[in-house]
Amino acid sequence: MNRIAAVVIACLGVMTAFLIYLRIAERAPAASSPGEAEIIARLDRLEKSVAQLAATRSGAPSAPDSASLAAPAAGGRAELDGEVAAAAHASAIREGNDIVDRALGVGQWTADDVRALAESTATLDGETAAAIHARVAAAINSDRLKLAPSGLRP
Amino acid sequence: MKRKTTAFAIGAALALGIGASVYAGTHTMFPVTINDPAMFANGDVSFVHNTPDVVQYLYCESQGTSARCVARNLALLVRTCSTANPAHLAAIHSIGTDSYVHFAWNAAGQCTLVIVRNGSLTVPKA
Repeated sequence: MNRIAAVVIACLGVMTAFLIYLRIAERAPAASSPGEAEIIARLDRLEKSVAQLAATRSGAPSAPDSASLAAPAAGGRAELDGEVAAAAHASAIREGNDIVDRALGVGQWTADDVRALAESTATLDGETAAAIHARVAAAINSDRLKLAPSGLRP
Repeated sequence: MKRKTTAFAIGAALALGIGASVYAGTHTMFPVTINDPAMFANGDVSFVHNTPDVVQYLYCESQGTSARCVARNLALLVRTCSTANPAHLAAIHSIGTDSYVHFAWNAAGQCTLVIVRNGSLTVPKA
């Protein structure tokens, strides 16, 4: 009986020792977490200090600020370029149609008209240029516009 | 005597046309034809060029992404069309000095068809 009790007590002792070991093993990482947090906090402070120092020395805003300022400036320039191109495009169309309208008023398509229309439509895309030239073609085909003898020269 | 015989042989050969080039094959000789009701014009560029009159013409001009075709027949009738159609442009850009050209138009002056034929059928420009 005493032997059995001794064995049970011995087993309990081993289990207790094992449980204590497991508890210590579990606590080990938990104990390092505050350390890690502290290191990360220090790194953050260091990074901020470096950024502030760099900004102070260059006298310029930090990188993210310059990027955010440059983006709208580039966008504005592109928008302006687009507006200028659109205005030039509209002007070329208007000029081409004016040439056709003037010729229709006179009823003659001359070499000067051919040259002027070729110049004004030179910057236009094919579809737009063809549409203006088609007005001339339609007028010639319906005999509303006569080709002057010199009307072939570009 | 031998020299006289040789001269006679050369003269006879020239008179008979021996040694001269002989042109054969089917040739078209289409002047500028304008069919107003059907709204098309066509002709052989080289044949029109070779005609003795100074009235007919047939040509297409291209600005790269747009082009026009123009034809005038013996009756001084001028018909033309304008296009930006890539298929028409490709055809127009293939026109050579001896091409056959056919184009059709609509009421808006747009080309509705451009046909170009290059080959042995047309006579060359003189």
